[in-house]
Amino acid sequence: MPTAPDLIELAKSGDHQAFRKVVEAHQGFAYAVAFRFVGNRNEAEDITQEAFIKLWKNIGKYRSEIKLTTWLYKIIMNLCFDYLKSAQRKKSLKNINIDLSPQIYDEVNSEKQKDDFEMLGVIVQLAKQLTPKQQSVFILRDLEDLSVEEVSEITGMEHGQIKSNLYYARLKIREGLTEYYRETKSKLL
Amino acid sequence: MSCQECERLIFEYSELTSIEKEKVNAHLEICKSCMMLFNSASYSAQLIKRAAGTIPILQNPVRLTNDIMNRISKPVPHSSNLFDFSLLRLKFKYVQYAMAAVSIFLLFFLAIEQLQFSINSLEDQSFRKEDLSKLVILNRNDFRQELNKSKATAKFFLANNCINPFKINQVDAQCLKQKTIFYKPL
Repeated sequence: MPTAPDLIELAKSGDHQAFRKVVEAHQGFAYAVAFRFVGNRNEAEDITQEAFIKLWKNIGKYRSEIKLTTWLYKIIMNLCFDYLKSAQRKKSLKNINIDLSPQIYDEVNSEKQKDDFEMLGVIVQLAKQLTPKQQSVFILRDLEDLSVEEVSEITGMEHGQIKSNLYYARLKIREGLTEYYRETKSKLL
Repeated sequence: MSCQECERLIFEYSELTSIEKEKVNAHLEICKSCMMLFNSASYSAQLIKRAAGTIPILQNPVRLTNDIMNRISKPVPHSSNLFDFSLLRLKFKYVQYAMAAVSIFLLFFLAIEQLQFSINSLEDQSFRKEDLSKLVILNRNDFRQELNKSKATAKFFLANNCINPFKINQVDAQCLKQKTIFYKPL
């Protein structure tokens, strides 16, 4: 079975079937990353689609020494920031409310799973209030569990910058969670 | 260790070395406020970890794959339309060449016109200075009489009034000179 770099090489020569396999293998991952940035299923799907279109258009620039996931992280992160930066989104973000629309629960059954998804929704919405640098570092390091080196490669930030942004992000998330607990008396906390 | 220093390390606790952890622990034993912050931050870190373990699942992966593949199947640089596009570019190139040729021709035409006008002006000046004495200047009545002598000459004069068709205040000196010679009284 061909590996991801092999498939990419085939896709470079215009092989649609090879690219389909790349999409099938990575779209779940791409969607999860996008969802953690935007916190909305439809938007996350749109961003995933755009990310693969961008990947296809720029496939000629792919260098095998870079991991495909690292490249995808970069594309998705930039698309998510474009989405979050749009004036309409900013406007809606001014009235911060933890949007736990039913769509997030569609795919889960057990109570525990629902609680976990609710917690993810709360944290994603709190992360959207951070600066883009804090948000990207927080999501990549704490939610995606990437190493500092990987975060540095994706964001282009120095280790010191990552450390500093991560500190403020965690501080703000803690404050947000405390406030959320006070307001909702949530059983989650 | 100061509380400020400890506060920063509390949020990085899981990434600290064992020596750093010992230093933080020592401070926490003697500082109640830092201990409270430590407990709160630890709980927050647990919740974040729980959220990290929750993977958002794509609802309809087949549809998404098909949507992506449909979009990339539209004409892209790999497709055969490249040839048509280059043909279009080639055609456009010929149009560009034609436009350039027309522009050069117009420039030459205008330059020749300008040169001719300059020569005429010079001739006009020399004609006025040197040959004016040789000409017979007719008064209006005599001029009309001369014209009436021959219908053919009148027709010629009317058809060639020596006026620049583009600038009515300009008269061609060479033409005028010829006419004047032509209408010399017999």
